[in-house]
Amino acid sequence: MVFKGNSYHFKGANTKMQRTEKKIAYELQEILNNYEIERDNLIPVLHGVQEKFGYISEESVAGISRHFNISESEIYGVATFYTQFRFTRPGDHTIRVCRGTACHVRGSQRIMNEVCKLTGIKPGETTSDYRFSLEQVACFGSCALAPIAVVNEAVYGRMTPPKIKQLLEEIE
Amino acid sequence: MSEIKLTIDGQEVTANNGDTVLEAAQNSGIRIPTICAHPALEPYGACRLCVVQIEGIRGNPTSCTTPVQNGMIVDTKSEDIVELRREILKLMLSGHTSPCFACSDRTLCEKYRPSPTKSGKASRCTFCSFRDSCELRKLADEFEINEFDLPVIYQNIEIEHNDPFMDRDYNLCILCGRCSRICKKIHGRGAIDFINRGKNARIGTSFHKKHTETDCNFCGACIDICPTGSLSDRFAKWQGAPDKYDKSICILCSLGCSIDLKIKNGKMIESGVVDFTPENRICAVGRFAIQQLLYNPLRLDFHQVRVEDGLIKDSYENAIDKAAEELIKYQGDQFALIAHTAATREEIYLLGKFAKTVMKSDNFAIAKPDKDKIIIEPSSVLEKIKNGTVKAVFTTGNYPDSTLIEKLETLIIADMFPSENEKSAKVVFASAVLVEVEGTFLNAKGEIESLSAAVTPPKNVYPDWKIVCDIAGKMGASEFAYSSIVDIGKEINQEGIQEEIPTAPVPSPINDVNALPKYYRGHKLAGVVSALSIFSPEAQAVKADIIPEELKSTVEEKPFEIVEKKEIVPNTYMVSVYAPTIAEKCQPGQFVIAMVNEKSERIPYTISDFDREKGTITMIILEVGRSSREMANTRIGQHLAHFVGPLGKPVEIKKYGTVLCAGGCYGVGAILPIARAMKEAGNKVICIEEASSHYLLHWEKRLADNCDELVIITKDGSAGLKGGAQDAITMLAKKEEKIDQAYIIGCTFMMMLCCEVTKKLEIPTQTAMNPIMLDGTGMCGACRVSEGEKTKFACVDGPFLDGLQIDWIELMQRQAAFKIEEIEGLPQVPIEKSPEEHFCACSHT
Ligand code: SF4
Ligand code: SF4
Ligand code: SF4
Ligand code: FES
Ligand code: FES
Repeated sequence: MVFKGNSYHFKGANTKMQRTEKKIAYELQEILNNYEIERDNLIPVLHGVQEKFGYISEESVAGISRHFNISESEIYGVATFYTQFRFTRPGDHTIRVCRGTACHVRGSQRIMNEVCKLTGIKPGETTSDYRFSLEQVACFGSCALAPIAVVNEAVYGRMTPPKIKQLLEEIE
Repeated sequence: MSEIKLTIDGQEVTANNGDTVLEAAQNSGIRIPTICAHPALEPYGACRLCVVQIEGIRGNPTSCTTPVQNGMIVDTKSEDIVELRREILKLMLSGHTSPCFACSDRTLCEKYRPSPTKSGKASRCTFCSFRDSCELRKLADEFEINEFDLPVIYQNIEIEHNDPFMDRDYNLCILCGRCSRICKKIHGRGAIDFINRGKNARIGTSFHKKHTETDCNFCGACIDICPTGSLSDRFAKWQGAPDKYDKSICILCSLGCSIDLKIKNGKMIESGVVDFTPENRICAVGRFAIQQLLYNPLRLDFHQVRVEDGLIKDSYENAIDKAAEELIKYQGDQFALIAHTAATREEIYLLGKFAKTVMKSDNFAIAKPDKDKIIIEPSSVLEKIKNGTVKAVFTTGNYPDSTLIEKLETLIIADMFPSENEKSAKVVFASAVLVEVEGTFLNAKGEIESLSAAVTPPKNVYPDWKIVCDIAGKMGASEFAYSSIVDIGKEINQEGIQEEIPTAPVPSPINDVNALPKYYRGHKLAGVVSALSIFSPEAQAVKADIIPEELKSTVEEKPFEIVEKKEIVPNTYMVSVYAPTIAEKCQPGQFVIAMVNEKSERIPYTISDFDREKGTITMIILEVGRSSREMANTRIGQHLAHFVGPLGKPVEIKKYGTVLCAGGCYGVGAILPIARAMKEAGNKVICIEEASSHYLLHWEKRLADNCDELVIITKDGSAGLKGGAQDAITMLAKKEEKIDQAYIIGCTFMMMLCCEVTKKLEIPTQTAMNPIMLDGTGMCGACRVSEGEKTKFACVDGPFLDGLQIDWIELMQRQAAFKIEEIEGLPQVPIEKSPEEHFCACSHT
């Protein structure tokens, strides 16, 4: 991947997370097949779906609705009641920037601004090609290393705008 | 079932095992207030309004969920309980947009505003279409709630008008769950449910989809069961509370569903299910289309006969004469009659009898809708028209097709809508239809159901059966003089007529919106009830093509560009238009007339600000009624079709001493240029901004920057002082503020109240009469005002008139009368035509 001015461009199409519709339907069915048609299984199924796909999609809700014969609105209602479910497809890479006090004092805002500039998205958003998601998080508990950024599961301390830029560039 | 004995409020009561305490009380005539409970629904226990005290049970159980037990001692009316309910209700109301309860001018307000204002958003009760039927309001009044401990909240949830039938305003929702529960009960899989949690919890669809993209069948049950104004039938909502309920049958398809009618002044407001059960559910056509057919702008409500130059309107009697005169020439095989299936048994029988006995013809056919087309049976009748045997036809709708019509010498039509065939017709009768007709209907189950003519047809318009009876009478037939519908029914039985049981539509429209009836009397339903076109993909494709084209043409030709637009507070929009010549000339107090498109009404708007350098005019617009809705739905970059001004006499700017400028609603913006000019002229300027509640306050800073003192006052006391602008004036007078001149701009009611005070204080007062103007030219007379002895026209003599001289009572009464007329006239105008339009209505940014 190369950065060009304020935005980034791809070397090739991103295929890793791209699943064909058919494949998604198949994978969803696989999850559903593990569960008896009982209302009590709704939450476990939702967890299963989120684990597999990273989020709960409209198609998943429709599939679950058919399987359990529960209306889509009811499933969506149950899912939105719990904070751990997400409803938009996350990017292949999640960047989290800490906004805890220590990080803040040490300039985490500048890190955030840099990531926003590079990806063209705001916290809570995902790039339109689903490459990156950006999140803001409260203290990571690694204040000694402030400011902190977490790319996928890896924690990086003492961040600076050039460093985060380099990190993003290194992502395949 | 075993009986249970218990005591409620000291009264010995028997109940069935399994009853709830609420049911036991209700069955013994003891009323407990409820909101979330409904006889059609299982106990739910969400609102807690039905709390009671039961000996031996701790706390305050909800009576709607507590089963009765032998020996229970229940108290439903103790002081503590009533107080607790009051608190519960207050809490519920503070999340609802109801500052009106805390307003001390409410009684007067409702007296002078007998019907709610047709606004785009219900930012308070006076702006809510459900005001007169609201259960919440009734309870609030019962508990005499007239103050809040916490300010009322307006949640600012986007109003959903993204389907063609319903408006859903969840800002009014109290989360009783009646709608989602009934939807689930009726359809098994509900279209709506509670979504999100905590303070974001609300009713909604999966992923906020439009109802047209969900399982929703548009049965309307959710609207009919909602205790508040959250859910409404867009076509019916402003008609007010019904004065009569009646039962009838929908005969638009062979299912013949039972419906409940809401009626006002003989006119149908809306229809609904007879009970909230899966068995009795109805389809979108039965729920939403009947009223839109009856009060359709295209509907024929006069009879026509052909003269040399074409068809002219004529009396019913003349039309009968003419029809009889024509038909008598074509007795025997030369005549054919085509009836249709969406008719009563009596009508079908009499039309057949007319063909046979009066016209002496066996050519009697019935037009039957069959999915996407109309089939006329028996087809031999069509053959005879084709081969020229039949020369005269009496038809009850838009059939047979025009190629066959050309072969005829005489065509008589009895119909509800105009058609191409009219061009060949000798006589066109307007028919009374559907729920306007008395009679019986044979449904697909073979049952005979009855219709009661519950709704009054247009004047001098009669059902088809009466039309043929009168023609028959005119032609000398004696056996067509019936004294009642019942007699016709008896005759059908005596004759032993074999009636064909119609087949039920498959799939059933009540389960599938794609299977909704498509025709009535040969007219495409989606063609006359445009809302239904959402279900016919062809019609939508056409629309999608048309709309951007239209927008484009406006953009190219019109100069008045909207450069800024936003909703500043609920239902109140700021719109800035590029109009340099107007901006150059305009003076404080003047107004402009704007038309959003060529077909809009001309509407005067007070100039709220102007910028000579940028060449812009800014208006504050309250969305009340059709034209301001069009304005509220414009987008930045769009061009107005018409924009004239400045109009009206400017206010006289000079040094008075202390000048008071009071504004409410749209008037907050309108007083700004006056305040600024008065201050520049060396006056001490005091501004008053009035609003119903804190969430309606706007432009405070702009006002404060242009005056010496700004007084904020809200009707519910949620910000600034509590009261109305008039109270603020009194307060200023008490502070010994000597006011030399006052300018008041707001609704008529607010200006009236202010003038009462300034009159007493002998303050010269000018009031802006814009809210009452219609066309701004003095032609319509709507803005006629009595100022002392003189009659003035606000649009030419004003907008500012001497508020102390105006006969406010007369004015308010005239406006109230005008408003009722306007609301009654409303169905004539389909409010929103295409789903695309609704979409832009809610996506303003
Ligand atoms: S209209 Fe009927 S189907 Fe649609 S949401 Fe309301 S109750 Fe449910
Ligand atoms: S929309 Fe109406 S029926 Fe539904 S929860 Fe809200 S208030 Fe109750
Ligand atoms: S299914 Fe619809 S059109 Fe048919 S009778 Fe019932 S309400 Fe009327
Ligand atoms: S009516 Fe009993 S809790 Fe709502
Ligand atoms: S007045 Fe209560 S919801 Fe409108």
